[in-house]
Amino acid sequence: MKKSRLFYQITINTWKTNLAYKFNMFLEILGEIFNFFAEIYIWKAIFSQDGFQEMCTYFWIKKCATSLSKNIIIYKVNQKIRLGHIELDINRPFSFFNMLIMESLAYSIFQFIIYTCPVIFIEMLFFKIIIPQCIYCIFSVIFICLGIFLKIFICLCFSSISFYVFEIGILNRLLEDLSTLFSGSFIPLWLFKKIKILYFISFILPFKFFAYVPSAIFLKKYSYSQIIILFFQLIVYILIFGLLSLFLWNKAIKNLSVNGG
Amino acid sequence: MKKIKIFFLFIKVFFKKQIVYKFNFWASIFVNINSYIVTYLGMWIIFQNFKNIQGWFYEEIVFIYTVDLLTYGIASLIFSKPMIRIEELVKTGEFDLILVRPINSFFFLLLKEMDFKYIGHIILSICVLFIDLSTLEIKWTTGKIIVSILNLIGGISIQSSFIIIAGSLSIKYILSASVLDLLTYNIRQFIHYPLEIYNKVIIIILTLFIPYGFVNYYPIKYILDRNLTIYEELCSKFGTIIIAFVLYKLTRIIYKQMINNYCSTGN
Repeated sequence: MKKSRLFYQITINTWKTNLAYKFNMFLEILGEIFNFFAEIYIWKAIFSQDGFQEMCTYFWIKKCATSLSKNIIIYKVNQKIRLGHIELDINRPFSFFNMLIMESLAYSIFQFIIYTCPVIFIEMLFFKIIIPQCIYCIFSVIFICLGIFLKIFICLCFSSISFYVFEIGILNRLLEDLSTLFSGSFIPLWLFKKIKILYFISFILPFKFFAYVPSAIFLKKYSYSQIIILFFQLIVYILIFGLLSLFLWNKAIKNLSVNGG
Repeated sequence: MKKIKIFFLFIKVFFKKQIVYKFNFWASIFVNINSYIVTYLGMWIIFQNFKNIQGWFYEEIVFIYTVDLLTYGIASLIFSKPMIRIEELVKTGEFDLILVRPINSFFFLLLKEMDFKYIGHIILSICVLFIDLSTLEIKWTTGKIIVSILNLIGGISIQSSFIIIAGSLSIKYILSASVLDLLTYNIRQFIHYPLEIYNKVIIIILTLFIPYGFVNYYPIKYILDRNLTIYEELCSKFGTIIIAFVLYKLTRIIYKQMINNYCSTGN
């Protein structure tokens, strides 16, 4: 109960902070709409009539999944360490680790409602999308939700490197680039099939759960048995990265020495 | 002469600064190169599955993308960081210091906020351009070479103009980062592919109102000997340089206007 009240307060604060610069927000929404039109017309040109509707649906789900899994944990932790503010956060009467997870969830919800909803609304207005059976929609939503947690834990693992390295922006960018390519947010992973090595790498890495898997499930690209295997694979990834992030974080906090603030 | 001396003095100071953070300098260049390699890889994967996009082949699309990257890289190398920084300089009141110095404020701003991280864009795009041109088998004529050089200069000028306009607006409205993102990332991405794949409204916008189409699409259509209407032929040969000149004049006016209307916030 206490935690849910805290999460509610964090969500309110995140919204207030992000809503402060309204004109900037408007420009960003405009930017998202431009991104959408640029991408959708490229896919329209590539697929012509065959498969374009499928691609529109893929874009629809992918957009929801990527915007919900977006977070700024690495940047935030790095800033706090560089400026020395981490000392205050650690000494607070609640876990900073949990606080980061809550902040990240609040940020995802904000991103989704403010920046993604207008885009998916416009897409539904101008382009047709395929709606599958209810069960596939439910599976897709489950995978999107679990994907958010996987991304948070991976980012927490990387952010704990901030305790040892001064500038982590470069590593963050590398992670983002890798994630863009292998999550299917840039190109659907079924197009990788002809390049076996890339297809194999995308299968091994956990990034596919951020966008490709929920979208492919929605498009009925997987059978029930494959969905169950993927579900267990995702749970294993969440457990591995969850435990690893907790271990790395606790170890880093123990050895932390703050020089001023 | 005095300006050249000052320029070299700043270059010297800049490199001294970079020596302090050597790893950071090289890593930021590498990361930029890596991001664009991912984009090229993405294009290559698409073309492993599809022969062409509305009659445009892989090498031609790469040509279009690379010309944009090269012109953007050169323009950003000189103007991006100073224009992004204006927002903060105005907020902190440091912009006043730039205005009261006995040197042109714009020139001083460029030298003060120099940043070489965009050199990665230029290195990568030049390498890709050489490889791509060798596979494209273009029949070069004197006319095409002259048009190419003029269009390259024009392309850099158009990209620079948009960056400077976004930065200049910050002097009064303090929002360069968002406007710059909108112009140089969101809208510019339309010219990563040939304009003819888009809706007519988008083509008109990118030709007349935000003329990014002149950076690569129209000149490349002429260089690749693709079917051109009379209007497109005119755009391809002379459009870029004319638009570049008009935008240059407009940029000068906007920057001067913003400086004249600048009210210091103090520090």
